[in-house]
Amino acid sequence: MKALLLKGAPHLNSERTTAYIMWHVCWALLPAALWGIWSFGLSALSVLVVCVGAACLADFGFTSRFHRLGSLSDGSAVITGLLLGMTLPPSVPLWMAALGSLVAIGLGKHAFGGLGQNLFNPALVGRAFLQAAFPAAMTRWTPPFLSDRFQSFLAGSWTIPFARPQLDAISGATPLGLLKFDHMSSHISDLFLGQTAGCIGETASVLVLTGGAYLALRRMLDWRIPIAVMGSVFVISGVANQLNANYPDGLFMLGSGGLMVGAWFMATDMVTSPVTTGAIWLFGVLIGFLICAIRFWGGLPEGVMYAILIANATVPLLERFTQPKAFGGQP
Amino acid sequence: MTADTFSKGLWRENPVFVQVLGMCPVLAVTNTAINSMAMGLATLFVLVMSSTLVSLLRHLIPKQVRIASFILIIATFVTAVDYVIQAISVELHKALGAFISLIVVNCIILGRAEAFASKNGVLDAMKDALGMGLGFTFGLLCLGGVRELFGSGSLFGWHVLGPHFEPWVLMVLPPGGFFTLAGWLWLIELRKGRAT
Amino acid sequence: MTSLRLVGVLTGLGVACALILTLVAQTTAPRIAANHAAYLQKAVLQVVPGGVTQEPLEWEGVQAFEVRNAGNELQGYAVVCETRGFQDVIAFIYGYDPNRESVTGMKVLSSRETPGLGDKIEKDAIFLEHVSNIAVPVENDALVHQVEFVKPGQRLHEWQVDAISGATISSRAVVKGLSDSTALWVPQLKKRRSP
Repeated sequence: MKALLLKGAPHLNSERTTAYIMWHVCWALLPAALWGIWSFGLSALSVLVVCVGAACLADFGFTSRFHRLGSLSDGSAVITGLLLGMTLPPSVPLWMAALGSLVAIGLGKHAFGGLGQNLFNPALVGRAFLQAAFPAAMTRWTPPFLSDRFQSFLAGSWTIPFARPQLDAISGATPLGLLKFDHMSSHISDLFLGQTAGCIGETASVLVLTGGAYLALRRMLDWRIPIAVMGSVFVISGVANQLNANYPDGLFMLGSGGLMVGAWFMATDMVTSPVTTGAIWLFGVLIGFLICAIRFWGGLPEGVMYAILIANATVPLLERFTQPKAFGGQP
Repeated sequence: MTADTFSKGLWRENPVFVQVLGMCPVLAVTNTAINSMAMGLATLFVLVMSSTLVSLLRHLIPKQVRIASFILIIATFVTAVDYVIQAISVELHKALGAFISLIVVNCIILGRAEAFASKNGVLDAMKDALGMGLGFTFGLLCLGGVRELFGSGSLFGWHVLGPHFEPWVLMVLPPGGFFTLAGWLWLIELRKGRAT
Repeated sequence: MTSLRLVGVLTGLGVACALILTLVAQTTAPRIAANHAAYLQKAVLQVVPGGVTQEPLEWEGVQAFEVRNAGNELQGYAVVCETRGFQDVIAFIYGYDPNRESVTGMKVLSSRETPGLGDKIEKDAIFLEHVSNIAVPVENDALVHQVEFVKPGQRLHEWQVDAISGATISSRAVVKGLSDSTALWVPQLKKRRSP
């Protein structure tokens, strides 16, 4: 017997269901993820599989235990897992990846009430947890295109759960790390075409940009947010670079680190981004400013994660400041 | 008054998990089990003594100035204890000194003085303070044990998880305190059937 | 009338508390002073390994000790130093060995740093190992390198000290104190050794 479905107005039907959009976001992320697998090999593939698998498992567990709305078929858990995996270093132990997914879904999503209720981007909550708990493993980088990347795993991957990961023989540094600690710049074309070390899904900025632009054209994400983030980063770093050549220029800032993934796929998360037009612009500019501030003056080389998390926290405030006047209301 | 005067602080009205009072020391010093134990016992001691004194003086103190008087009593007592411990041993003071000055601002002490000791006889006040103090120590140990286990792989300084354990740095940092407290509160409410 | 009683009770209580505290402070003061002196003496020998006897130096502006070994030869010096910590002033003592030209140890004398966080300056193994071996060579009556403070795991040279994660402010305070104090006193101690 089919249960009677009771819903409040408006009773509009649209093809644009949550699931429809979520799965499109997944498809748009795939090119960059595949590039990550191509350049970092088996370990990167297993990190992505474990992250998505653990996120789905955790989401299924929490949804059924707490009788929450939503299910695996809406794809939101897959996105969380995929985004988390794409922002992890390739050599991260798989048990940490699984733990990160569990924290992302449990603490980032279900602690706030499940699908659509969370204040912070769940994938970033998981990543922030891992970064704070295991700073060493989370900042160990692998150079891309190692010759045996499809024959063997990196040393850290199959660490026994809760044990300290083994060190890899070969290690690399991200362009941002090189800039911050060794004052070395990288070629802009390498940054955009994914020739550098970094997190699994963030190296090929062009592919991320393409996926994001596709979603923006299909109106599945708000184009104002990535434009505001990228624009403000470009302008701020451009001015800083003109004043003092020690600061990186705009193109380097846009192509390096997790900026593209953050701007197109994390800041635009429908749940954690604002809805009023003014707040959307403010939100984007705030993220851009925070990214520059953390990268320029912070202790860590990369700041996209914290910038977006901090900006997530300001969303209710931004929306309150930018409430549109009701039609016919007092001026 | 019944036996409940003593036992209610242990679980049913536990200062940490039910009243959620005195969160400053609960979150700040519980990153190892030893620290939790020291803080808990020091608080227990001051709580019992100040409750006794407040109860003894309860007819003397007009209710308009009671808060100021309680704070005066507690602060005097804590400062005196601080001096005495220094006189006994500098090493002991270095181990406990920082905790002792934190105790003055612990609201569980003022809370018990205000809510119980100022309205009840000396014996009952002592029983209440003893129960609350033990409950507070138990709560701190629950947090400190979990945080030390994950954050350092040890318990009371013994490395129980082996040399290969990768410590979760987060757990000994302040956010670890919030996460652990939230986790315990959730588990307890879950057991009571109140959380979903 | 009632307000007078309020004032009276509070004043009485305040006076009583002040009296009790004065009494306690008076009676414990000599014991506390003796304890601290004994503790300082013990600390002096701890920061200069191999030291057996000690003698205070009659210097202005600093509390310093000359330490001799079992053969009554000069083993090193111990210098007391104060620095602004996270909560309050941190007082510590460090040892200096003019033969090895290095800082040989550090011990905190008094601190009110947060238990579990800031008080790692007394317990952190790596930090204590670093501060027990800081190169402070002297050239032309000045230090060749100031003692430097670097991020955890980034010590490259023997005049650098790693920060403690979770106790950055407190460890920075100690290293700042060390840096300032060694820059000022080590050249003079070195000169005293080889006039």
